[in-house]
Order: sequence, then C-alpha cells, then structure tokens
Amino acid sequence: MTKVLVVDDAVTVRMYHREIMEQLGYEVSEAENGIEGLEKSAFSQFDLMIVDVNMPKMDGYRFVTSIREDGHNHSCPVIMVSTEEQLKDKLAAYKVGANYYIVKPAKVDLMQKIANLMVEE
Amino acid sequence: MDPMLEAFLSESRDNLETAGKCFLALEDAPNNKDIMDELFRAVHTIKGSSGLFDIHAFTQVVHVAEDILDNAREGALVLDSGHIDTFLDAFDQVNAWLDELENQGSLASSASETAAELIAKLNQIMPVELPSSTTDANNIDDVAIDNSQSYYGELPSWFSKLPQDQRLKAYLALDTNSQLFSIDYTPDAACFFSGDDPLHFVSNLPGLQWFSASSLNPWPDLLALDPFSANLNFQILVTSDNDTLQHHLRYIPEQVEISMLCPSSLINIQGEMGDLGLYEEFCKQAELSVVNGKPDELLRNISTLLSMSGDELYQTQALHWLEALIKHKQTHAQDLGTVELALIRCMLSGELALDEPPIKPEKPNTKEEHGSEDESEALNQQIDNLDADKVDNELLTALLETQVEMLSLSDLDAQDTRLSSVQRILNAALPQALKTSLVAKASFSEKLVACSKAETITIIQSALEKLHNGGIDIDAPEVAPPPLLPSSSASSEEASSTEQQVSASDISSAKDEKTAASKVLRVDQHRIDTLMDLVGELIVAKNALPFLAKKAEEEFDVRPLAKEIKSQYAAINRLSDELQAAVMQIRMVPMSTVFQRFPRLVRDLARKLDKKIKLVLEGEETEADKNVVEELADPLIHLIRNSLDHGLEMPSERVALGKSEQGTITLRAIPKDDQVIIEVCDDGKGIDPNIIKRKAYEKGVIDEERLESISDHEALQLIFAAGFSTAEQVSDLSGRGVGMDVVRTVIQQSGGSVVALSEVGQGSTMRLTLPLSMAVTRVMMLEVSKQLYGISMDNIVETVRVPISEVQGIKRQKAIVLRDRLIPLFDLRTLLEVDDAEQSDELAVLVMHHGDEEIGLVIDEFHEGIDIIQKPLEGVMAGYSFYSGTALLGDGRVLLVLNIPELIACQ
Repeated sequence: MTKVLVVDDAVTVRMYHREIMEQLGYEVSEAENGIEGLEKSAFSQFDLMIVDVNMPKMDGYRFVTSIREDGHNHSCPVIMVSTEEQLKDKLAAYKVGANYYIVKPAKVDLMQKIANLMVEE
Repeated sequence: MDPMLEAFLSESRDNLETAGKCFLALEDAPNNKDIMDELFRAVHTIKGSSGLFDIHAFTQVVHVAEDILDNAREGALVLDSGHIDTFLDAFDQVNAWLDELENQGSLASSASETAAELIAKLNQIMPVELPSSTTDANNIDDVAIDNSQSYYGELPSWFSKLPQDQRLKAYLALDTNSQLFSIDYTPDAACFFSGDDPLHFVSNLPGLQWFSASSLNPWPDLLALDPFSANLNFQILVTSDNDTLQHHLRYIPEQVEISMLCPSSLINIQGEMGDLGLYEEFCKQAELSVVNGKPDELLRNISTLLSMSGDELYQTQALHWLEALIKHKQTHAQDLGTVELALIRCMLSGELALDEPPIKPEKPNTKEEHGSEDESEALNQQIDNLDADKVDNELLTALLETQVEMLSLSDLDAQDTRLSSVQRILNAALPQALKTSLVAKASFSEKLVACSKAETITIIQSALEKLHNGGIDIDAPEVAPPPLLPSSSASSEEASSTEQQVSASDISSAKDEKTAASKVLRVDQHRIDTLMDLVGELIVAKNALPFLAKKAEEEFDVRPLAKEIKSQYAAINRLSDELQAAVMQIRMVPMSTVFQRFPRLVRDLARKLDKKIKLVLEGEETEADKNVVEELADPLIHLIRNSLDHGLEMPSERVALGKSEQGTITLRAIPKDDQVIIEVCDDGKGIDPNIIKRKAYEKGVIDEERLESISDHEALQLIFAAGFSTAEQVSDLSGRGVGMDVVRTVIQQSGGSVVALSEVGQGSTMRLTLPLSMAVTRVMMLEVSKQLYGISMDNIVETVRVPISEVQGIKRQKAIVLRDRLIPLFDLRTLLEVDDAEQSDELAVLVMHHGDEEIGLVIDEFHEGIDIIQKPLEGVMAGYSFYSGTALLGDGRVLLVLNIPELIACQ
C-alpha cells in the first residue's frame, strides 16, 4: 500500500489533498505542521509527501530539510504545495530538496498524475 | 453540507477570529513580528483554502488583503488605525460571506461588486510600487502565458487596422525583457460605482503602445442612455513583461482577455511587387552589409533606393521597416540579424519568412530559471487542452527537468538523500522502454543507484532528449482518476480496511481524531431547558418529603417512619443536587463568549471619541449559565460606553492631570461561591457624589431631608435611578442617561445586583453581582407577622439575636454594633407595612449585604433554607418590584420572595 503524508496547517486543504490521494488508492496520513510531520515520519515510511510551505511552528522548508537530513524517509519524493507562484518560491523549494512544486489550489488531475509518476510501484 | 465546505467554514471562522485579535493587538504594538506573522498566516490560510471553492470574489478580497499584509510584514508599510479599520471592514464582509456560504451554499450575485469596492479601499492602503509581483492564484490558468512561440495567440481582428507608425513604434519598444500583448478589456458595467476609471486604468498600463475604445453594444437613443453604466470595450496593445502585466491586471481577470502576440506579426508589409530587377542588386549588397555589420553603408543604399521607389510598392514598405530597424539598432548598439535579412529577402520573394520570432524572448542570465518557472504553468494550461498522451509526456518532461534543477541547486548538505530521492523518482517515472534504451543490459535501478550526481543528471538529460525526439513510445502509467468528490463511502471503507496496517502511532492518532470528533455534542438548547425544568420540578417535589416526615411524626406519631422518610430524603436530596449541578454544568459557558465583543467595540468607540483607551480583560474563563452570560451583554455595553464616554477624559486632559495619555478600562469576571462578580473599572475622572446629590435633588429624585442624610456611597447608587443623567453634553454614544436605569433593571431581573464605586479623579468601578445560574435559587425562609417570606441566600451574611438594649439611634437611623462594625437596622414590618407585633427583649436580625455595605433586617423568626424555582410575578403584581418572585413550597403553600434592595430603596 502506497503511503502518503500530507503536511498542511489548513484543515480544508488537508481534506482536499487526502481526497485526491485516496482516489488513487493511496493511504493518507496527515500532519498539521512540520513538527507533527517529523513525528509521523519517525514512525512510518512514506512513499510520497505533499508539503505546504507556510505553516506555524515549523514551516515546509525546514521540514523538508530535516527529512532530507537522515531517517528512513530521507529519499522520499516530496511535492511542495503553496499559493506563491513566484520563481523564488519554487527555487526555494527545490533548494531544500523538494522534487516538485505545485501552485495552490492544486489541480486534481495534475496532482494525481505527478503523484503517480513519482511513486514506485 | 459538503464536508469540505464545512471544514472550510469552521477553519476560516477560526482564522478570522485570530486575524481580528491580531489586528487589535497590532494597534498597541504595530511592529510586533510575531503578531504580524500570526496574522499573515491566518489570512494566508483562508486564501489558500478558499481557492478550492468557486468563490472568486471571496478569494480576491482575501488575496489583496494578504498581499498588503505581506508588504507590512516585510516592513514596506506600517499599518495605522485607519488601515486596520479598512481591514476589519473587509473581514466583516468575509465573515458575512461565510454565513452566506453556509446558508445558501454560494455567494450572492452582488458579491463581485462588493468585492470590487473592498478591493478599491484596500488598494488605497497598498504602497504604490509593489516589490513583488503576483497574480491571483485562482486565475493563473486564465492568464498564464508561456514564453515559447507555440503560445502566441491569434491576432485579434482589430490588429490589421493598426497604423503603420504604431506598429513600428511598438516593435521598436520591444526588448529582451518585454513581449507583445494584445488586451481586450471590457469594463464591468457597474465599474463606475466601485470607483473604477477604465480610461485612467488603460492609460496607466505598463508599456502601453496603442489603444482604441469603442462601445460594447451600439449606443442607444439619448433618452434611453444610462450614463452610469459602462458600455465600453478597449482594444489595447502593450509591450511589457508578463509578470508586470499580470500584476497590473490581477484584480480584473474576468474583465480582460490577454493574448501574447508574435512580435513579427507587427511587421506588416503590403502593396504590389515592384520590378524585381531594380532590387536584385540591392539585396545582394544589403545581405553582405548585414553579415559584415556595416549599417551605415546599408542605410545609404536604402535611402538611394527609396528615392526611386513608389510609395505604394511592397518593396518600399519593406525598405521603410528596414531603415527604421537599422537606425534603432544603431542607436542601441545592437547587431543586425535575421530580421533584417528576412526583410531584405522578402523584397524579392514577396513573402516575409521569419523562422524564429524576430526578438526571442529570453533572459540570458536567468534562462534556466525562466524555463522552470514556466513549465508548471505551461503544464497547468496544457492539462486541459492537450490529449492525455501528450500531457503525460509533457508532465514527465517537466518532472525530469525539475529533478535536474533541484540537483543543480543542491550544492549544500544532504546531497546523497536528494540524489536518492531523484533516483527513486526516475525509477518510478520513466517508462520501461526508455529505461532499457538508456541503460543497456543491466537493470536500470541497480545501475542508477551507483550513479553520481553528474551521472544521474546525464541520464536524465538523455532521457529528456529521447522524450523530445519522440523516439520512445511511452506507455505511461495508467492513471484513470475517478471524478473528484464522489460519495465518500468508498474511500472511507478503503481507509478503514487499511487502518490495521498502519503503525502504532498512526492508529492511536486516528483514534484520537475520532474521539475528538465525538467529544462535542451539539444539542438544541430547548432540550436542555426542558431537562432543567424537570430538574426544577424534582427539587420542588423533593421538598415535600420533609413536610411529610414532620406530618408522620407530629400528626400520626410514627417516629420510625418519619426517620425513614428523612433518610430517604437525604439520599434523594443529594442525588437531585448532583443532577442539578450536572445539568447546570451543561449550560455553563465561559464569560469570554460575551467579553470577546468588547475589544472591537472599545476600539471603534475610542476612535470615534478621539480617546486613547486600552481594554484589559480578566477572568474570561469564568463560567456562568448561558442565560446569565447572554443577559449580561447589553448591560455591559451600557457600562462600557459610559466609561468611555463620561468616565475617561480626553488624552490632553489626562496628560494635564498627570495621568498616562491612554486610559484603561478593565473588564473583569471573578467567580465567588454561587455567584459571579463582573466589574467594569476605568481610571477616568470618577463620579463626584456631591454633584450626584445636587443633580438628584434638582431632578426631584431625592427630597431635601434625604439630601442631608444620604451617604456618599448611597449617593453614587442614585445614578441607577430612573431618568438620571450626569452627562453635561449628550453624546451619540450614551444617549440621555437612561442606560444605567436599564442596567439595573436587567441585572435585577437576572437575580443580580449592581453597585457603583468611585473615587473622584481616580476612576470608577461598576460591580455587577450575578447568580451563576438563574434556574434554582436557594432562599432563606423567615417569618414576619405570621407570614412566611423568602430572601435570597446569596446576600445573607449571618443571623444574630440582639438584646433590644444594644440598639442605638444614630440620627434617625437605628443601628447595632456587631463585632466593631456599625450595622444600620431596618425593620421588615415597617418596610412591608404590616402590623406591629408585641415587643420582645430580643431582636432577630438577619445581617445581609446591601450593595457594598452590610445591613441588619429585623424580623420575627428565622426558618430553614430551601431550594426553590423562582417564578416572576405576573399580571398586576408584576409592578411590585420589591417582590422578586414567588415559589411553590413542598406543602403547596406559596412563598413570596423579597427583593430587599428594592424594598429599602422604596422606603
């Protein structure tokens, strides 16, 4: 079973991303911020992470940086999602080690296809 | 309701509340980074989530607010109170929209107009030059334009009418950073009402080259013409960079149609072909001049040739273009290139053949970055248009390019993990055929793991190459997503069936979520009221048992039965007490539900009055019965308005008095036994009891005799008397002083009392004492003139018996000294105007609180305390305010409950 971690501080957005991923038959865990994300990540191995940028306590950049540092999720594909569509925001995401960047609100179709490409069978 | 919408509503309401608090906090601390961040995040979240729903107006307003806040957060703007007013207004509307969404499922049709007004107001806050450029995230697909040639739009119909000189001017205005756009702008018909000026807007477009305005629909007769309705359509040509243009148009995406045009389409050469022989020689020469970079020579030849050519010839027009281009490039020190060559060649062929756009839109320094910026936008756009295979191909390309970019950016730590994440993705994303063509023989994944960063990049690049050449037939992974938002049962079943596989932490958290959801139960208030009534009946019914026991003992002389009834009574009594407490607990709400309204009220009023005021809330968590808390709202508004209006001085007065410029109002809730005390304190000028006395006398509230004897404390309480006002000027806030009278009435109806305390120059305090619950009251029964009365236990301090010799007379008032305190005595017989009883040597005195003092009430006999459900008096009796109500006793008799403060006031 493919496991996806959705990290976002907005309930609505988590619900949306969960729905998108569950349609692909993936199993979804949620975290409200980077710290909760790291806690979840410590106990489970994920096949994909969908991470918001702007969150309280620990933002998406710091979260992805920490994920890439060590632990069993260090090579997990990461999609960063944010409302910012400027180049600098995308580059910042790639710089911390995100594998893709999608501008919110993410299109269902795009997100599902990208996720499908990124996830190993 | 759609569960996602429901989540959005409650989440956004929370965030709006947070935002509201932050705005108020920012007024005190405008530069506080933490508050700014919290505020920004709240607004950001609302905006992000709103994008998931089709509520354009809503998203736009929040988006603009977010933009401005982002500027403020970065220090480009300091928010002052005026700005905050605008924000608060906008968020009030956002809140109203949430209600609309909840009730109707969509926004009203007027929403976009309202949004335009709010945005216009918000825009006044915004600093003129934005450091950043953003487009409305929601509209990115509508307006996103890619730089590659394939995205050039079709030429609009008016394009052919463009005059030649305008074309040349526009063409020359293009440089490496700008592109050519045509804009079709149809202002909203109601745009004049939202303060839009379409002409001004158009004139200020970045890089405006040309525009033409026409009527959208044919103009009607002059009589039928509505001059307030915009019937306009603008056709506009601009040269600008995409970001700047998008930024400029970000609030009216639905009113504009933008398309990027190929710059070479400006070059419009028409006319009859002249004699080719004349030009052949020239063309040979000219090509050589271009290649060798000799513009002067070329210009000479052109002017010679122009003098020989007829104006309407095709070649002549080409020559004009050529001349202008060369002159332009000369002054800008640019090399001649393909455009010039094409222009020269067309003079012979009659056809302008430009393989590439004449000015390639590229930014040499940021070429790589630019590509990546566009790719996802391009993808977003393509997704809808192109067929599935193509999309998958494009998507894969984009994904691969992103990986290269990511790897080349990761010159920092954790390189290995990035690399392995990329390799994982390659392994997953690349189709098998491509893999085998890339890595012969060996297994792709095994080979890949051994690759270094550079090698991986090489592999990706060759994969990209193969993809572009279309050499590989891609059997892309099957993705057949069902439509979004199906009945959630399927996915939830799936989720539950997989839950067993989740690790321990996940299961526990999932359980937590479930239990959290069931922790709060929403119940109709009527059901709880019914329950409360039943409990009340039970308590009254229970009170019959002691009477029964007494009867068994005294009338039937069955002592053992009486004893048994008594012990049963004890058990039932305990249970009913607990039951009552439990039901009461259900109805308890924290004071914060009513206190929360005040920061905004105080802020708004203070600004209206030009006063500087800080509101301090204390004890918000104190709980009381929902009814009590609700009843409290209006009296508190009156009291706080009064403090603001009459209590606190103007800043200048305060400074002159040596006080701090900012006045403080404290709103405080203190739980005390079965009561809750609410205080409204201010540090203003206080109330002068002498002025109150004089005014009360002038207005006939008190007579001369009372004027002499009244204490300062008693005088202060006169402000609660009907028709009493001390305001020298009637302001539009506190009206004519009827407020305090209303406050007293409401509070007393709730079974509470109100006291004014004040020290001249230091401020004043209004203290409300309220029962925690209005449902069940504990009263003490007492006897006067052989009649039973009840007095609320809340105010009773103690019961004493005093020898009649200890009663002293001070002025005209009888009093006793109890433990060194002087306690004025009131005879309940006199107060109730009932017959005098025979004098005994001892007085039964009930010592009770009266306002802030203690008084003694002389009665005939004490009886026991009892729980009652107090019912208000009805009909003609309702006018007797010295009875607070009636109650039914266990043996069927009716008990009159006295309102002692009223009784004493009526004296």
